[in-house]
Amino acid sequence: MKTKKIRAGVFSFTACYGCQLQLFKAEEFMETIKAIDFVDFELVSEKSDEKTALDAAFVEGAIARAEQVPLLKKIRERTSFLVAIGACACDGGIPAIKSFCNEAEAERTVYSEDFRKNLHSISPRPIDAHVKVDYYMRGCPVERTEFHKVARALALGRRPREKRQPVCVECKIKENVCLFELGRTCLGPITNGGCKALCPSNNAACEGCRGASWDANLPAFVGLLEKYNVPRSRIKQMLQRFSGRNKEFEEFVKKL
Amino acid sequence: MEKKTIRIERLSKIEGHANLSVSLEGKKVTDVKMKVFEAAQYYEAMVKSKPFHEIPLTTARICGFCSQAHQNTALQAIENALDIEPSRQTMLLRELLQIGQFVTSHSLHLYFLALPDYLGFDNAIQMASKHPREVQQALEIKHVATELVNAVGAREIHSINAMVGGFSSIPTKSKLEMLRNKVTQSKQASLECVKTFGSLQTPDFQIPAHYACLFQEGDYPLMDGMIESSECQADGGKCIQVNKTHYRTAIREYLKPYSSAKFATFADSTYFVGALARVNNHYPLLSEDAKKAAEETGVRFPNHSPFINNLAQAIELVHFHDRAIEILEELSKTIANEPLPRIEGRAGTGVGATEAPRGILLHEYELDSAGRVEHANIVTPTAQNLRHLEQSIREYVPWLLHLSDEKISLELEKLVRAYDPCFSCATHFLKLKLERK
Repeated sequence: MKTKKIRAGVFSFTACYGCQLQLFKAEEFMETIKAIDFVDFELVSEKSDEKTALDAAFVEGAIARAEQVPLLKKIRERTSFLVAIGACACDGGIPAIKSFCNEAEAERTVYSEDFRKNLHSISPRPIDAHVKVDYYMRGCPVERTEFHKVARALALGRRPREKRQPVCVECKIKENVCLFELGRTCLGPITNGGCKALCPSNNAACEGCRGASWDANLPAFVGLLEKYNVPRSRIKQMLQRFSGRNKEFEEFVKKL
Repeated sequence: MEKKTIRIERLSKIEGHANLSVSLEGKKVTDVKMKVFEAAQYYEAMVKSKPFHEIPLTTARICGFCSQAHQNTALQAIENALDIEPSRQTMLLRELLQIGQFVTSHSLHLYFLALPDYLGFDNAIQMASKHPREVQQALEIKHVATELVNAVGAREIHSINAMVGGFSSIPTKSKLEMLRNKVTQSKQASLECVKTFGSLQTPDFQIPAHYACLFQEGDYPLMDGMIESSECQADGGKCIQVNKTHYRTAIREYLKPYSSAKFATFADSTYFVGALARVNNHYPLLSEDAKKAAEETGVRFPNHSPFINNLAQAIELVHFHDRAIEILEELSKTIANEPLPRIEGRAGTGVGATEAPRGILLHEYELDSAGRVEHANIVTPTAQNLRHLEQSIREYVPWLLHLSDEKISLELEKLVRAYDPCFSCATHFLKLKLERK
C-alpha cells in the first residue's frame, strides 16, 4: 500500500464555488485529508505554498477575466495532473452563456459603459481553451463521490479514468419512463452520464450540465427535438446552456 | 524562474477575488478601499430571452453557498409575474431547502472560515488535528443539512425538482421522519456551536448601524416579506418599511471604479444585512431554545459589534433546526403527491425577496408575452453590506495602530470575515495594503 501523501491544490476562477463545496459535503473529507496534502487551497487557507510542484491541481471555473489566463498557465506548469472540475471549467458552463450574447451590451446592462474598462472581462471559455486538461470531472455541480474517487486514485498513483456513456444509458438502468414518451424533451441522449440520470429520475429534464457525450449524434437529436416542435432558436439556447463552448457543440451550433 | 512564480501567485491572491487597501496619515485613516476582483458576472444579461421555467435553476448557479436562496427568490419572482400561488406543501418544502442551505452555509463559514482565526490556526485542516470535536461538530451539522437538501431537492446544491408552480418529485413520508430524527440529533451540535462562539474573545468594537431585513407578521425573517429597517421594531428613529415590489425606492445600488461588486445604500444610509440584522431586529421571534442558548452566552441583543455576526449565525443554527423539525413534523403527516400545474408563459413583472444566509436577496423579472425574460435585476446581500464593511474598517483601524502590520492585517481579516461576504472565500486570502505616511 502506497502511503505517501500527494500534494494538491484547489483553484477557482469564474464559477459559483459549488464544486469545491462538494468536497466538504462528504463524510469522506476527513479521510481525504489523510491522503492528500492540500498545499494550496484558497477557499480554506490563507497561507499557500506557491513554489511547491503539485501532483494534482483541481481547477474550478471558466476563464472570463484577462488576468486569469497567466494564473491558469502557471498552475499548469506546476502540476503533473490537472483536473477540470465542474461544467464551467470543462465546457464553459453557465458563465459562457455570455459569449453567445452581445458581450459589450451585456457588460453595459449589468455595469455601465464607463465602467466596462475596469472589468477586464474577456469572452468566457473553458480552461482547455488555454491549457491541457488531464481529467474532466463533469457536472453542475460535480458528484462528490467522483471527487473522492479521483483523489483516491491519484493518492494510490493510478490515473483515474473517465466514464463514457450518455445519460440515457443510466436512465434506462433506473427504469425511468423516457420523458420523450411523455411528450417532453430532455438532453439525456447527447449528454455525458456519470450522474445516474439524476434529473430524469426526479421527473425533470436533463439540462446537459455534464457536457456533450463522446458519441453524441447531434443532427439526429436536432431532428428529434424538431418533431417535438422545438424551434431552432430554442434548440440553440438548450445546447448553449452548459456546453456551448464544448468544441463539438460549438461547431455544430454554428451550422444550425 | 522560481521567484517569478511567487510573484504571480501573489498576484493571484489579490487579483482573483478581493483585496483591501487602507491609507493612513499618521494615525488618521484617509482612505479605505475594499476591492473586489472577482470576475464580473453577467446573469442579468444572460437570462434575457430565456424561458421562465429555466431561470430559477440558471440563477441558482450564481453562488454555490446560497444557490437555494437564489433559486427560491427567482421562483417567487416568476410566480408573482405569472400570478401563480403555490400550495402550502410547496412553500414548506422550499422553506426546508432554504433552511438546509442556511445551516450548510453558516456552519461552513463558522467552522472553516471564521473559527481557525480565533483558535490560532491558518486553516481548518490544521485545526482538525487539535480540535477534532469542533470539526466533527461542524461536519455533523453540515452533513445533516446536506442530507436535508439532498432528500428534498434531490441534489446537494442546485436543487433539481423545485420548479415554477411546485415540485417535480417529493420526499417520502419515511424519509421525512428519518430527517426529523437526524435534525433533532444535530440540534445538539448547534447548541454546542452557540457555546463555542459565545465563549470567543471578540473585540469590544461597536458601530451602531441601520439593520435591514425582511419581515412578515409572526415569522422570523426567511421566505418573503416587507423590507424593514431596525427602527420599525424599536422605539425612536425613523422606520423605513417598503413593499418588496418597491425595493428600488429604498435600495440604491452604485458602482465604485475599483470593485466588480456593487455597493448599495438603504434610504440613502449605510446599512447592515444578514444574521446580526435578523437577530437584532427580530430577537423575540427566535425559537425558545435559540433564545435560551443566546442568553446563556451573556451577549445581549441588539448588539452593535460586527464581530457578533458570527454568534448571531450560531444562534440562527439553533433556530433553524427548530423550525426544520416543526416543518418536518407537519409534512411527515401530510405529504401527498401534487401534480405539477401546466403553466403557459405570459407577460408580467414580479419581484422575489428572501433572506439568504448573508441577508436580503432580491430578484426581479419582466417577462414578455411568451414568458421569456425581457429584463432582470438581482440585488445581493454582499453588495448591501460592502459600504458598512468599509466604514467598520475605517473606524476599527485606529484601535489597532499599536500593533505590527501583520497583526493589523489579521485583525482586519477577522473583521471582514465576520461579515461573511459572499466572496468570503476570497477574503480568506485577502491581501492588506497598508500605506503609512
